[in-house]
Amino acid sequence: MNQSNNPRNYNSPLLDNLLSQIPPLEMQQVQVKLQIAARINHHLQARGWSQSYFAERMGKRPSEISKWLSGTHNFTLDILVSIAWHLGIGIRELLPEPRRSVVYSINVEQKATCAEPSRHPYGRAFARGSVILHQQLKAVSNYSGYSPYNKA
Amino acid sequence: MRLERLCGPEATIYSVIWKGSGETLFEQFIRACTGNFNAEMQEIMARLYQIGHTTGARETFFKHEGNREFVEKYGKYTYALYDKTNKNLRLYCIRFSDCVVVLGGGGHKAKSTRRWQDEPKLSEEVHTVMELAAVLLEQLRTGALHWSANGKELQGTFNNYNNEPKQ
Repeated sequence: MNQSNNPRNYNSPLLDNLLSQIPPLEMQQVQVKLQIAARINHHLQARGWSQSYFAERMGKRPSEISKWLSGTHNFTLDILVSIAWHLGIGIRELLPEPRRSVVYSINVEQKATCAEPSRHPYGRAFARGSVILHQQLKAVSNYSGYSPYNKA
Repeated sequence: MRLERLCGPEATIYSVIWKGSGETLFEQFIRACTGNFNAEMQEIMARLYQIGHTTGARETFFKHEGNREFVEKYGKYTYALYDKTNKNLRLYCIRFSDCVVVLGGGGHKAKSTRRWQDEPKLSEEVHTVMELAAVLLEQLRTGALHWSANGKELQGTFNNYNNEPKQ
Protein backbone atom coordinates (compact mmCIF):
# COMPACT_ATOMS: atom_id res chain seq x y z
CA MET A 1 0.00 0.00 0.00
CA ASN A 2 1.25 3.44 -0.85
CA GLN A 3 1.37 5.25 2.42
CA SER A 4 1.19 9.00 2.21
CA ASN A 5 4.04 10.47 4.20
CA ASN A 6 4.33 14.09 3.13
CA PRO A 7 6.89 16.33 4.79
CA ARG A 8 5.82 17.21 8.27
CA ASN A 9 5.12 20.77 9.28
CA TYR A 10 7.96 21.57 11.59
CA ASN A 11 7.85 24.25 14.23
CA SER A 12 11.19 25.01 15.73
CA PRO A 13 11.55 27.07 18.92
CA LEU A 14 15.07 27.90 17.74
CA LEU A 15 13.75 29.47 14.53
CA ASP A 16 10.90 31.17 16.40
CA ASN A 17 13.33 32.67 18.85
CA LEU A 18 15.67 33.94 16.16
CA LEU A 19 12.82 35.42 14.15
CA SER A 20 11.43 37.18 17.21
CA GLN A 21 14.80 38.87 17.75
CA ILE A 22 14.79 40.55 14.35
CA PRO A 23 13.84 44.22 14.73
CA PRO A 24 10.79 45.02 12.55
CA LEU A 25 12.72 47.82 10.82
CA GLU A 26 15.47 45.42 9.80
CA MET A 27 12.87 42.97 8.51
CA GLN A 28 11.35 45.79 6.45
CA GLN A 29 14.75 46.77 5.05
CA VAL A 30 15.47 43.20 4.00
CA GLN A 31 12.04 42.94 2.39
CA VAL A 32 12.46 46.12 0.35
CA LYS A 33 15.96 45.17 -0.85
CA LEU A 34 14.68 41.81 -2.05
CA GLN A 35 11.63 43.39 -3.69
CA ILE A 36 13.69 45.97 -5.58
CA ALA A 37 16.05 43.23 -6.79
CA ALA A 38 13.06 41.15 -7.90
CA ARG A 39 11.59 44.12 -9.80
CA ILE A 40 14.82 44.92 -11.61
CA ASN A 41 15.12 41.25 -12.56
CA HIS A 42 11.50 41.24 -13.73
CA HIS A 43 12.14 44.21 -16.05
CA LEU A 44 15.29 42.59 -17.44
CA GLN A 45 13.44 39.35 -18.16
CA ALA A 46 10.51 41.21 -19.70
CA ARG A 47 12.94 42.80 -22.18
CA GLY A 48 14.89 39.59 -22.74
CA TRP A 49 18.05 41.29 -21.50
CA SER A 50 20.82 39.25 -19.90
CA GLN A 51 22.67 40.57 -16.89
CA SER A 52 25.83 41.03 -18.97
CA TYR A 53 23.92 42.96 -21.63
CA PHE A 54 22.43 45.23 -18.98
CA ALA A 55 25.88 45.67 -17.44
CA GLU A 56 27.19 46.74 -20.82
CA ARG A 57 24.34 49.21 -21.31
CA MET A 58 24.98 50.71 -17.91
CA GLY A 59 28.76 50.69 -18.21
CA LYS A 60 29.09 48.42 -15.18
CA ARG A 61 30.76 45.08 -14.49
CA PRO A 62 28.45 42.05 -14.64
CA SER A 63 29.37 41.29 -11.02
CA GLU A 64 27.83 44.63 -10.05
CA ILE A 65 24.53 43.64 -11.66
CA SER A 66 24.64 40.27 -9.85
CA LYS A 67 25.03 42.14 -6.59
CA TRP A 68 22.03 44.37 -7.38
CA LEU A 69 19.90 41.34 -8.19
CA SER A 70 20.97 39.41 -5.09
CA GLY A 71 18.63 41.31 -2.80
CA THR A 72 21.50 42.25 -0.48
CA HIS A 73 22.45 45.57 -2.06
CA ASN A 74 21.81 48.85 -0.32
CA PHE A 75 20.82 50.99 -3.31
CA THR A 76 21.51 54.69 -3.42
CA LEU A 77 18.89 56.92 -4.95
CA ASP A 78 21.30 57.83 -7.75
CA ILE A 79 21.77 54.20 -8.69
CA LEU A 80 18.02 53.54 -8.65
CA VAL A 81 17.41 56.55 -10.89
CA SER A 82 20.13 55.34 -13.23
CA ILE A 83 18.72 51.81 -13.36
CA ALA A 84 15.23 53.11 -14.05
CA TRP A 85 16.56 55.46 -16.73
CA HIS A 86 18.41 52.64 -18.52
CA LEU A 87 15.29 50.46 -18.33
CA GLY A 88 13.19 53.32 -19.66
CA ILE A 89 10.81 53.28 -16.72
CA GLY A 90 9.92 55.53 -13.83
CA ILE A 91 11.68 54.95 -10.57
CA ARG A 92 8.35 54.09 -8.91
CA GLU A 93 8.25 50.91 -10.96
CA LEU A 94 11.29 49.67 -9.09
CA LEU A 95 9.83 50.27 -5.68
CA PRO A 96 7.44 48.00 -3.81
CA GLU A 97 3.85 49.01 -4.20
CA PRO A 98 2.44 50.64 -1.11
CA ARG A 99 0.10 48.32 0.68
CA ARG A 100 -3.48 49.41 0.40
CA SER A 101 -5.20 50.10 3.63
CA VAL A 102 -8.53 48.39 3.83
CA VAL A 103 -10.79 50.24 6.16
CA TYR A 104 -13.44 48.05 7.60
CA SER A 105 -16.50 49.80 8.88
CA ILE A 106 -19.15 48.41 11.04
CA ASN A 107 -22.59 49.75 11.73
CA VAL A 108 -23.77 49.38 15.25
CA GLU A 109 -27.48 49.46 15.31
CA GLN A 110 -28.97 51.15 18.27
CA LYS A 111 -31.79 48.98 19.48
CA ALA A 112 -32.77 51.11 22.44
CA THR A 113 -34.87 54.01 21.42
CA CYS A 114 -35.98 57.04 23.21
CA ALA A 115 -37.35 60.34 22.18
CA GLU A 116 -33.97 62.04 22.28
CA PRO A 117 -31.21 59.41 21.90
CA SER A 118 -28.42 61.90 22.24
CA ARG A 119 -29.65 62.72 25.71
CA HIS A 120 -30.20 59.10 26.64
CA PRO A 121 -27.14 57.70 28.49
CA TYR A 122 -27.21 54.41 26.53
CA GLY A 123 -27.76 56.25 23.26
CA ARG A 124 -24.62 58.30 23.80
CA ALA A 125 -22.73 55.20 24.83
CA PHE A 126 -23.77 53.40 21.67
CA ALA A 127 -22.75 56.34 19.53
CA ARG A 128 -19.39 56.68 21.27
CA GLY A 129 -18.78 52.93 21.18
CA SER A 130 -19.42 52.86 17.46
CA VAL A 131 -16.81 55.53 16.84
CA ILE A 132 -14.21 53.89 19.05
CA LEU A 133 -14.80 50.47 17.49
CA HIS A 134 -14.49 51.98 14.01
CA GLN A 135 -11.22 53.67 14.91
CA GLN A 136 -9.81 50.49 16.40
CA LEU A 137 -10.68 48.46 13.33
CA LYS A 138 -9.15 51.10 11.09
CA ALA A 139 -5.97 51.09 13.15
CA VAL A 140 -5.72 47.31 12.98
CA SER A 141 -6.39 47.12 9.27
CA ASN A 142 -3.83 49.81 8.48
CA TYR A 143 -1.12 47.72 10.06
CA SER A 144 -0.08 45.14 7.55
CA GLY A 145 3.62 44.88 8.18
CA TYR A 146 5.65 42.06 9.63
CA SER A 147 5.29 41.30 13.25
CA PRO A 148 7.42 38.73 14.97
CA TYR A 149 4.41 37.99 17.10
CA ASN A 150 2.17 37.09 14.18
CA LYS A 151 2.68 33.54 13.14
CA ALA A 152 2.28 33.10 9.43
CA MET B 1 10.53 18.89 7.26
CA ARG B 2 8.47 21.84 6.15
CA LEU B 3 9.73 24.85 8.11
CA GLU B 4 6.37 26.31 9.01
CA ARG B 5 7.52 29.79 10.06
CA LEU B 6 9.52 30.40 6.90
CA CYS B 7 6.96 29.07 4.44
CA GLY B 8 4.58 31.55 2.89
CA PRO B 9 2.52 32.15 -0.23
CA GLU B 10 5.62 32.63 -2.38
CA ALA B 11 7.81 29.69 -1.43
CA THR B 12 7.92 26.52 0.61
CA ILE B 13 11.09 26.05 2.60
CA TYR B 14 12.19 22.65 3.84
CA SER B 15 15.10 21.21 5.73
CA VAL B 16 16.09 17.66 6.59
CA ILE B 17 16.52 15.70 9.80
CA TRP B 18 18.81 12.72 9.45
CA LYS B 19 17.60 9.59 11.10
CA GLY B 20 18.69 9.58 14.73
CA SER B 21 19.18 13.34 14.85
CA GLY B 22 16.84 15.65 16.73
CA GLU B 23 17.44 18.73 14.60
CA THR B 24 17.25 19.80 11.01
CA LEU B 25 20.45 20.59 9.13
CA PHE B 26 19.40 24.23 9.17
CA GLU B 27 18.98 24.24 12.95
CA GLN B 28 22.42 22.68 13.33
CA PHE B 29 23.80 25.51 11.22
CA ILE B 30 22.03 28.11 13.37
CA ARG B 31 23.22 26.54 16.60
CA ALA B 32 26.80 26.33 15.38
CA CYS B 33 26.99 29.92 14.14
CA THR B 34 24.59 32.10 16.10
CA GLY B 35 26.90 32.92 19.03
CA ASN B 36 29.59 34.62 17.00
CA PHE B 37 27.52 35.93 14.12
CA ASN B 38 24.14 36.72 15.58
CA ALA B 39 23.46 39.76 13.38
CA GLU B 40 24.35 37.86 10.24
CA MET B 41 22.19 34.95 11.28
CA GLN B 42 19.27 37.31 11.82
CA GLU B 43 19.77 38.71 8.34
CA ILE B 44 19.76 35.20 6.87
CA MET B 45 16.55 34.44 8.75
CA ALA B 46 14.95 37.67 7.58
CA ARG B 47 15.86 36.91 3.97
CA LEU B 48 14.47 33.39 4.16
CA TYR B 49 11.27 34.68 5.77
CA GLN B 50 10.82 37.25 2.99
CA ILE B 51 11.63 34.70 0.29
CA GLY B 52 8.83 32.55 1.64
CA HIS B 53 6.36 35.36 2.16
CA THR B 54 7.14 38.13 -0.34
CA THR B 55 9.42 37.43 -3.27
CA GLY B 56 9.89 33.70 -3.80
CA ALA B 57 13.26 32.03 -4.21
CA ARG B 58 14.49 33.85 -7.29
CA GLU B 59 17.68 32.43 -8.69
CA THR B 60 19.50 35.75 -8.45
CA PHE B 61 19.15 35.61 -4.66
CA PHE B 62 21.47 32.59 -4.67
CA LYS B 63 24.92 31.70 -5.92
CA HIS B 64 25.27 28.47 -7.79
CA GLU B 65 27.61 26.02 -6.05
CA GLY B 66 28.57 22.40 -6.48
CA ASN B 67 30.93 20.58 -8.74
CA ARG B 68 30.84 20.01 -12.48
CA GLU B 69 30.19 16.30 -12.11
CA PHE B 70 26.95 16.97 -10.24
CA VAL B 71 25.82 19.66 -12.68
CA GLU B 72 26.47 17.44 -15.68
CA LYS B 73 24.51 14.60 -14.14
CA TYR B 74 21.60 16.48 -12.55
CA GLY B 75 21.69 20.15 -13.50
CA LYS B 76 21.87 23.32 -11.43
CA TYR B 77 20.24 22.63 -8.10
CA THR B 78 22.80 23.31 -5.38
CA TYR B 79 23.23 26.89 -4.29
CA ALA B 80 24.40 29.11 -1.48
CA LEU B 81 22.27 31.96 -0.25
CA TYR B 82 23.90 35.04 -1.76
CA ASP B 83 26.22 36.76 0.68
CA LYS B 84 28.29 39.87 0.48
CA THR B 85 32.07 39.59 0.40
CA ASN B 86 32.37 41.03 3.90
CA LYS B 87 30.02 38.44 5.42
CA ASN B 88 31.20 35.48 7.42
CA LEU B 89 28.47 32.87 7.05
CA ARG B 90 27.51 30.72 4.13
CA LEU B 91 24.32 28.64 3.95
CA TYR B 92 23.89 25.93 1.32
CA CYS B 93 20.64 24.69 -0.08
CA ILE B 94 18.86 22.92 -2.90
CA ARG B 95 16.78 25.23 -5.02
CA PHE B 96 14.21 23.41 -7.11
CA SER B 97 12.38 26.47 -8.38
CA ASP B 98 11.24 29.93 -7.33
CA CYS B 99 8.78 28.14 -5.07
CA VAL B 100 10.77 25.39 -3.35
CA VAL B 101 14.01 25.41 -1.40
CA VAL B 102 15.53 22.71 0.82
CA LEU B 103 17.95 24.17 3.34
CA GLY B 104 21.12 22.30 4.15
CA GLY B 105 23.85 23.36 6.51
CA GLY B 106 26.69 25.77 6.19
CA GLY B 107 29.38 27.36 8.20
CA HIS B 108 31.88 30.09 8.71
CA LYS B 109 33.63 31.35 5.62
CA ALA B 110 37.01 32.81 6.50
CA LYS B 111 37.99 36.03 4.73
CA SER B 112 40.86 34.21 3.08
CA THR B 113 38.55 31.51 1.70
CA ARG B 114 37.65 32.15 -1.90
CA ARG B 115 36.18 28.77 -2.80
CA TRP B 116 34.24 26.24 -0.75
CA GLN B 117 36.74 23.58 -1.85
CA ASP B 118 39.42 25.37 0.18
CA GLU B 119 37.60 25.01 3.49
CA PRO B 120 37.00 21.47 4.85
CA LYS B 121 33.79 22.33 6.73
CA LEU B 122 32.24 24.15 3.77
CA SER B 123 33.37 21.42 1.43
CA GLU B 124 31.68 18.82 3.64
CA GLU B 125 28.45 20.85 3.68
CA VAL B 126 28.40 21.30 -0.10
CA HIS B 127 28.96 17.59 -0.61
CA THR B 128 26.16 16.80 1.84
CA VAL B 129 23.80 19.09 -0.07
CA MET B 130 24.82 17.52 -3.38
CA GLU B 131 24.24 14.01 -2.00
CA LEU B 132 20.87 15.04 -0.61
CA ALA B 133 19.92 16.67 -3.90
CA ALA B 134 20.88 13.49 -5.74
CA VAL B 135 18.63 11.43 -3.43
CA LEU B 136 15.67 13.80 -3.84
CA LEU B 137 16.09 14.09 -7.61
CA GLU B 138 16.28 10.33 -7.92
CA GLN B 139 13.08 9.98 -5.88
CA LEU B 140 11.39 12.58 -8.05
CA ARG B 141 12.50 10.63 -11.10
CA THR B 142 11.10 7.32 -9.81
CA GLY B 143 7.88 8.91 -8.57
CA ALA B 144 8.53 8.22 -4.89
CA LEU B 145 8.35 11.98 -4.58
CA HIS B 146 6.22 14.27 -6.65
CA TRP B 147 5.10 17.86 -6.79
CA SER B 148 1.75 19.05 -5.50
CA ALA B 149 -0.75 20.37 -8.05
CA ASN B 150 0.37 23.97 -7.48
CA GLY B 151 4.05 22.99 -7.79
CA LYS B 152 4.86 24.44 -4.40
CA GLU B 153 5.03 21.35 -2.22
CA LEU B 154 6.98 18.13 -2.26
CA GLN B 155 4.79 15.11 -1.66
CA GLY B 156 5.45 11.42 -1.46
CA THR B 157 6.53 8.56 0.69
CA PHE B 158 9.86 9.95 1.92
CA ASN B 159 11.22 6.50 2.67
CA ASN B 160 14.72 7.54 1.76
CA TYR B 161 16.67 6.41 4.74
CA ASN B 162 18.47 3.64 2.90
CA ASN B 163 19.93 6.25 0.58
CA GLU B 164 20.60 8.74 3.27
CA PRO B 165 23.90 10.53 2.86
CA LYS B 166 26.47 10.11 5.59
CA GLN B 167 26.00 12.52 8.43
